[in-house]
Amino acid sequence: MTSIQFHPVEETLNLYAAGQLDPAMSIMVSAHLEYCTECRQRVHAIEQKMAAQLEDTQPAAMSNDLDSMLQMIMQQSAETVIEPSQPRLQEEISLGDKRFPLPRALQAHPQHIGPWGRLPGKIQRARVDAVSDSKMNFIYMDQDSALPEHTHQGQEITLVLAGTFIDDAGSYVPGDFIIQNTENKHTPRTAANQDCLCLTLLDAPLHFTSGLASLLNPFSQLFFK
Amino acid sequence: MATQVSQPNKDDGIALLLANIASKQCKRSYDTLFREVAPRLLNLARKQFVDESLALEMVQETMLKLWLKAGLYDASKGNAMTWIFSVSRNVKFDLMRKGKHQQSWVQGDDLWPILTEEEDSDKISSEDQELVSNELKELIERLPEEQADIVRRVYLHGESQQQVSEILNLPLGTVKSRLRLALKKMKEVLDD
Ligand SMILES: [Zn+2]
Repeated sequence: MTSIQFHPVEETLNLYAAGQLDPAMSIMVSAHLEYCTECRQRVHAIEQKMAAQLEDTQPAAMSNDLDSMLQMIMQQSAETVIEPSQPRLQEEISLGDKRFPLPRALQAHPQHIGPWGRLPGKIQRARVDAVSDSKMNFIYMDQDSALPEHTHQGQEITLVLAGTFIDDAGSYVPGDFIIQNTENKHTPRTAANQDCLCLTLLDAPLHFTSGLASLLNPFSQLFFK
Repeated sequence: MATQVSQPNKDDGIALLLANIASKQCKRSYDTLFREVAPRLLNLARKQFVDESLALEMVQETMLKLWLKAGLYDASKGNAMTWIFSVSRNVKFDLMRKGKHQQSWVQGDDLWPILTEEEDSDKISSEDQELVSNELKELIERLPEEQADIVRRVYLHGESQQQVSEILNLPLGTVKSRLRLALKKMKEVLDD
């Protein structure tokens, strides 16, 4: 079996474990971890390190604030604390008659995933609501399809969720976490017998570079909004 | 009072406090835990939130969760302090966007579901799972029955080696060595 070759960098995992990545990027990393044992172990090790730092922290004085907090908490019980009801989880995302596992971080929020819409070249897209300034989309590439060649004005992260896609640099399997920036020019495509579902995070519009597709540039804001 | 949490097994001490809180809402255990954790958490929170009231809110939310949800700590998944850190990190994640007009529907508990009882596991599509287990079943059929049985239990039914040793009334070492032998044979077949 082919295995994951592209992972978030260590610094990203550090920020993720500390809870300091923005929500959109946190979703991307969390989804990668569902596929990647290696990074899960690294995050767990980072959490252990941070827990040790917590233990080594100089304690603040046991002030009146803390004392009354302690008393207040011990008067609570499961009956007095009203918790929001557990949301129903939607474990899959469907497109026509196909179903794919949905990243866990999104399972409680299917209402924030937009309807599928068609893009040129047998590509379909479903937006995920503004989780931050960057744009998150599910991109589905049918068998034997291609995205027009493009570069990125910002950074694009692509996480393969199902299937395989290929570009000039190689092929990518579920779990691969691919970071592209302004230097990369690429033409993602799928093979004749292979479709592909990705989750992408884009912090600036795409810039199309080839032939007719460059006519799309004025519309790239719309194309990948 | 703090004798329960003395070195070197400090973390076991914390785990014991959590267990007491979970099983009998033990206020003495919680008092000890609170004095151990909350003042440290507050100093850490003060570095992350300029606003003192937010720092206190982070401590309060975290400590309340420890009081109500201590039973969700699972010692097989890691240290007690690591779990406590994770609970506080989730609270912090949600508080960081509070009052900054950046409300987001993504919650810490969506990203790190440590307060639910679900199992982490690698995601394999049901189709792939079927492929893998069919291939595996064929390989297992070729093993001597005493090895095949253990492989089925561990890899197809998800029993732990400890459980298998109890059910079959075999020493754990025997279970492990039969499993090792079986895997070696299966690997040889695959490499051919
Ligand atoms: Zn990884």
